[in-house]
Amino acid sequence: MKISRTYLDWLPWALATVCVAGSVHIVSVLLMPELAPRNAYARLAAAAQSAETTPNGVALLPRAAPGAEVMPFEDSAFVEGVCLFDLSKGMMRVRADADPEELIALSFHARTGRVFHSATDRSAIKGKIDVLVGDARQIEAVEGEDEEAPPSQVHVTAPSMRGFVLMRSLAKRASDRDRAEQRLRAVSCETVAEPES
Amino acid sequence: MINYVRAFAVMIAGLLLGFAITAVSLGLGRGFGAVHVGPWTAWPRHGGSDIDPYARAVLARSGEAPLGHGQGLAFFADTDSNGAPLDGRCDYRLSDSTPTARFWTLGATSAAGRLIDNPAGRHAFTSSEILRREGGAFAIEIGPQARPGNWLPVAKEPFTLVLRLYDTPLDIESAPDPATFPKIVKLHCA
Repeated sequence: MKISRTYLDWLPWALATVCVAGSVHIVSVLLMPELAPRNAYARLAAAAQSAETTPNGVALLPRAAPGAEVMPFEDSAFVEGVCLFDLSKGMMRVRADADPEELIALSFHARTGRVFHSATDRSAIKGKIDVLVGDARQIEAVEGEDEEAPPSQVHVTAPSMRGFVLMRSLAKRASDRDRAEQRLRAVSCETVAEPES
Repeated sequence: MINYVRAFAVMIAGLLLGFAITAVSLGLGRGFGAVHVGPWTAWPRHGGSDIDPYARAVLARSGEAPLGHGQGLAFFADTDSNGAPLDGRCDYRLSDSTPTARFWTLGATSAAGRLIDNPAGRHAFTSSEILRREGGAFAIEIGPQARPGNWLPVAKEPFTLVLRLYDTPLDIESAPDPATFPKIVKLHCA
């Protein structure tokens, strides 16, 4: 009897501990993308600052070398560029030319890491990739007055105000890296003002 | 008074336990929805809006930018086809075939995803540059010592192979056939 009394005495405290531990676990997992100091956005923002930016607004990432990778598990066969966006300063328009022989892949990431849009040159319309990124209100404003928007333009709603567009251009052979970089230099990122309503 | 001390102890213990569970669970895997094909594993949900909170936390902590749905799929292997962990002190041969894709690349990284320093400066092969036998078949020789043919160098430590399929029509919903994926065979160990 005495044992079960002691047991009952401790039970609520043990349950409370489990509840606190569970809440801490859930909150810490959910907050990790916001708080992780070295997530992809932070790494790319730091790399973009020291990297060469093309006249078209794309920051060319340095070639990954052992011990000097921007991000882990990146495909080293690609030449990469990045455009950071902040939708509070306007929408982001990304344009690229598609060449059926060459692979160029774009992925659109929210600051906390979610991929909200991705495409390769396969999905280009009439040989052009043209993506307009905005928040829900901006995209609505653009689609409300779609006279000016080119019909081949893809409109994408971003889940967060800040994020990045990662561009990967495949160098099919090691000797192709220069040409892959040239294709990346032809990609343009520009901030466009939303239409006045 | 004793109850205040107990409540304080519960808070501290809960906090420590909660962080410990988070650290362990994020270290164990890369989230839900993994697709296993022989030694290869892919996490297709990483590349879309339906990524789960654990996967987001794992990727945010490591700093990876996964391939998007519209680009392709990345398959990771840290064991050979017999299930033994990949070890850089051994030689491996990776051979046909590969699933249909517009391009594929096969790279080796350290277990943490870093490039492996080597004198050849070689970290990956692409489907365009690989040397093929007559008929299109190929083999990639993986090991720390230089070998003729397609040699993918690794260091004398555990490593991970990553097979990336770009613009692949591969249907992840119906379990892919392991026979269409490359086999990783251990040859001998130093």
